[in-house]
Amino acid sequence: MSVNPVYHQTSDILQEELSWIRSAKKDPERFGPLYKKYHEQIFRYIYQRMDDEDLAFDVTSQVFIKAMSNLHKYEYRGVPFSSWLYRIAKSELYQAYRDRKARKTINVESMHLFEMIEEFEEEDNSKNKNRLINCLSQLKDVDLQIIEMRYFEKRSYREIGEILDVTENNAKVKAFRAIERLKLLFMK
Amino acid sequence: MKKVKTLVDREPLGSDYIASKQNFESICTQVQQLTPTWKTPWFYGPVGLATLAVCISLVTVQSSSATEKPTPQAQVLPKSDVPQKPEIIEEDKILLVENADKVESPPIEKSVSTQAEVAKKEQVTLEKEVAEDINTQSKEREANIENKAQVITKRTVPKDNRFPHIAGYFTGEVPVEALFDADGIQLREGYTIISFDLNFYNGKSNVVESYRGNVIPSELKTIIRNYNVGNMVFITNIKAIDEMDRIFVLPAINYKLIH
Repeated sequence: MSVNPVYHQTSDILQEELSWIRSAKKDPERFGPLYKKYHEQIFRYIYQRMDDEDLAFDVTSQVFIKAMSNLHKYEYRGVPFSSWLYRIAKSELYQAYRDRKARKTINVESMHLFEMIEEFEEEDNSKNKNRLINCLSQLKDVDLQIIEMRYFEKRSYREIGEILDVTENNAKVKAFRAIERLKLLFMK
Repeated sequence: MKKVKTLVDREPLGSDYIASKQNFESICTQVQQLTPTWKTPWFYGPVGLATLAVCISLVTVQSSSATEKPTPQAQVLPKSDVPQKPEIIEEDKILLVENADKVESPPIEKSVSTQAEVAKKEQVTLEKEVAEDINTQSKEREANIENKAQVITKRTVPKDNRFPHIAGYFTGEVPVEALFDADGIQLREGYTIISFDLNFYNGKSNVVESYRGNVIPSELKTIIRNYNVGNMVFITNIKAIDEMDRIFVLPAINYKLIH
């Protein structure tokens, strides 16, 4: 599985990021470098779960507004700043589903569907593809979220763990259980 | 309608396009709008300064009013009692100053020196008279103040009263003079106060002194007036005896002393 180069950072980069955060805490205008660095990541995370592009940009802006106004609460825990941003993004996303009547969306590529069907040891045809799509929409939010991150966004377990605020091993277990539940639904 | 919409192979957005949608300035503006006014640094500048100015002016006004308060009383009392004396004194003083000018000016001729001696003698006598006048006036003032102070409006007390009081004051604000009322601590008829404890500040610390009888000794007047006005004075452990020689301990009296 590929590694997200923006997420996985060396300790030097993390330290540099920490210095940006410290200066941004003193002066919010200095949040600029962090905004530039993480805007695309956060937008893609939101757009992956939405069908409206404009609304996705809007929610992304809300994420950064929240982050900037709550930056004084941020505590460095040795993980990239983006894990904190992802948590804000998740909360803003759910708020958008509730308040703005945004539609929950799963964006998948045929390739990813094919990989999953292959994992289930089933034949790759349009019927199975539609069955899998139907099963995905039936999954619980928690399971769907982890499957999206692991199989559609190709995030590492470490990254998933940091975004969900769980350990890497726990993320592995959660992903395994989620895929098992999807398989059960698929095999019905 | 399905709960979740599924999109397959949606056209991906390019990084350049996403980057073109970045607008950090608008984010900053919105953050500033979200921040409550009282949290912004500029708020503490003008508002803080204004508050400080108001506080300083209040303190100044209070301190000036506190220093000015006693003077009108001191001035009003003699004016009403001795209406024309101060004016006469001022005239005398003017005369004195005029004479003094005449005396201090160097004599032009020797024959004038005798006149100067006479003027000096007159000045000395005038000085003595003025000094005497001032002394008598100040004595009169003190006497007037004391007389005024001794006039206390006693409050009426119901006959079936069960609580101790001084001059009809049971609790709360009490003039210092009322505390030293000649009748002392009173209860209803048939009861006599035999002893009590007085809690007050003697200028160094809070003290509790026990007294026999029902009157607060007048020797304490100066201490009470100097150190306890505006503060609380407590009269506790008040013991009374009835006609059957039974002793009762009465409830304490708490006073806030005022002028």
